[in-house]
Amino acid sequence: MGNESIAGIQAVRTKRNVKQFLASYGFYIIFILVFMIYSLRAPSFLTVTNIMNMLHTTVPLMVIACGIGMVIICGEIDLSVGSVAFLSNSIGTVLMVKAGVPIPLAFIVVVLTGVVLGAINGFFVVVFRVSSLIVTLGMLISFRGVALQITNSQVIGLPEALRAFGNFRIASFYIDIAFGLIIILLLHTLHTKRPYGRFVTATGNDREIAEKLGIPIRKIKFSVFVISGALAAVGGFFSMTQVGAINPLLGNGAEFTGIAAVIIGGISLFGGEGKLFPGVFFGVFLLTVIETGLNQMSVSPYVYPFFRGGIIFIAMYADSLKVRLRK
Amino acid sequence: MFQQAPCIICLKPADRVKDVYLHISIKKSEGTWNMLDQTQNEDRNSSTTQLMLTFFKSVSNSPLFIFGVIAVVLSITVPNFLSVRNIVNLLTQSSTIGLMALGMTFVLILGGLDLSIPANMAFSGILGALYMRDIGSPVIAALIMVAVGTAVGCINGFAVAKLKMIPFIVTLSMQAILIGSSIWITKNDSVYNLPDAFGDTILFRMGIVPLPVLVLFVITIITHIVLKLSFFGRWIYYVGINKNAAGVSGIPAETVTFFGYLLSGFFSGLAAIIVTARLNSASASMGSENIVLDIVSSAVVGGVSIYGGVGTALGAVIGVIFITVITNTMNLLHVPYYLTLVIKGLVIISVVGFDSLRSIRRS
Repeated sequence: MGNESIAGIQAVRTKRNVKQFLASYGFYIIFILVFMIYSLRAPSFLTVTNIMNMLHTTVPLMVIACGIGMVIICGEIDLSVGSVAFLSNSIGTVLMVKAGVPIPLAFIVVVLTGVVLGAINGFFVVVFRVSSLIVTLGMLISFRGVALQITNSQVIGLPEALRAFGNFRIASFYIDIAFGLIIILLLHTLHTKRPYGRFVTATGNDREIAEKLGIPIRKIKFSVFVISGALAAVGGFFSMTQVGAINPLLGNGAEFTGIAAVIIGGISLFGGEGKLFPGVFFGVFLLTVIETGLNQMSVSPYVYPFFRGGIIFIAMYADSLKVRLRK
Repeated sequence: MFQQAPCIICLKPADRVKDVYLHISIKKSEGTWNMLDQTQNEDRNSSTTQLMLTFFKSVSNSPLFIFGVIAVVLSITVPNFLSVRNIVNLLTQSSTIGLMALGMTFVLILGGLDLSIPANMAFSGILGALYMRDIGSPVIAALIMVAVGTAVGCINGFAVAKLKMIPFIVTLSMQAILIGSSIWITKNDSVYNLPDAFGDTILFRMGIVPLPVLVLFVITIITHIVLKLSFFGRWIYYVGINKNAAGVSGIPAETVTFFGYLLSGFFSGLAAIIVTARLNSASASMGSENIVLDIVSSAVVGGVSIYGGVGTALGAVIGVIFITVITNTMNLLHVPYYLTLVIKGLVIISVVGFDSLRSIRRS
């Protein structure tokens, strides 16, 4: 009798452990499985060129997702990233093309615009204490409206030098992959090694406790939105240079794929948990891998949303499971 | 015999709802849990005068009042605004957004969010329209729209209530999936050549009032009464105020949440019927994400809190009319479309900001 109950408890514990394991590492298992299946089905998949191409495609979203990741770790959300990317870069492009501003200066303007737009988000969230969901949802629409007005909803081609930069490569290594990796690693260090990063995590974990510990949560929150705005602008810049022009759909839906990638990478939407480096990097990469693979297996593009939606759904379920198991 | 044992439980309020403490009084004789809370627009008695009083109180309490004044000023100064034709047009436009906002009201009061409403509307509209075009009977097509909408709502509800997933993400991915499949099914074209009988019936005018307006009117009143006077309605408020407390006091919180999302889907299906009839076609572009902003902002302007537990159906619909008035006057004043987007975005943020500043001052 006694033995049976102990065995029962142990069985429950193992089940719990298995669940916990799957919730934490399931995504890596999916990643490996997807990679293996594709490599077997499509011969062109597992080649250096293809992997580099996929990384290249990943860069803009990865940079944007890092910003979202910081905001989510801090317990807030930023839906406006796509529109921030579009607005800041449309200002930069108009300056470059119409006013003949030199490229480095235009890039600085792009980043600064991103900072200002992020600060606007942060201002409403911190000072007016409006839910970040509502603020950034409103800004998602507003910023895009302004940007469409600025670009007249037209496609504007970039200067030749910038177009060359976007797809510049040494052998099959695209230069912007290096920039993307540098950005993500810098942020990762900022998040895990510096006091600032700890403050962000603590704020996301429990706002009230963080406040009692003397962490300036309002400043932290504000700064997180600024970071997200700046990174959205930089990510948009990479995306724009890859295409070679700014089009009205730049950054459209980036909030969705970005948040999805962040969650897949193990950053909890409940805040205060997760890491940028292996997490977000692989999360974004997985989304790209899935689409490239489907593309190379010549599946109809209309089916992509199902795969993406399905995988995101599983990731979300794992996230909520993880939180529930801990309680 | 009649033992009333009022036990006052002060629970740690849910994350952001700071100023709400539940007073739970148990009436054993009636075998029911009767909970009274202290939010400002909760009424205890159900007499009509009290209902009216509560309504006026909540109106003057909400930002709606100020914006209502602005709307009146606009309507007097803007040319062509006060013509019968424009008003009827405005109300017809409001009817679809209004239905969706009613669905959103349930979800918002529950403390959740449903971003998939417009996508759901487009998806169910497309399925119904395809049936009508290829197989026949508009009546069954309308039923299909409602059924599909409700089914999608059920999936959302299941994921949120049973799987405990975050509503925001569930409905965001649902939106992506629904828009994706709408584009897939229609090959990104619109479904037209619908039977005339469908549009003629739905847009039938009684005198000068089109049927959709009447439908919205009737459904708003029903929803308002359900929310305010029925058991189910009260449960929705309690779950929205504090889910754990509601669960502890015996309210089937999971089931209530599930039905909230189900109703949200149901209303999307209803809206699909009207939109399809008005456009005389259905396409994936009906579910543009700008509509979500319209719906949420209407509900919020109408006094529904996004933190849950506060708001009325009537308020939400008045909010819809207000937002439609803004859009309409900007059209009449020839404001560029992009600027309209900017102004709308700012209106919602300032309304919510105003509201939260006031609640900070109150506490």
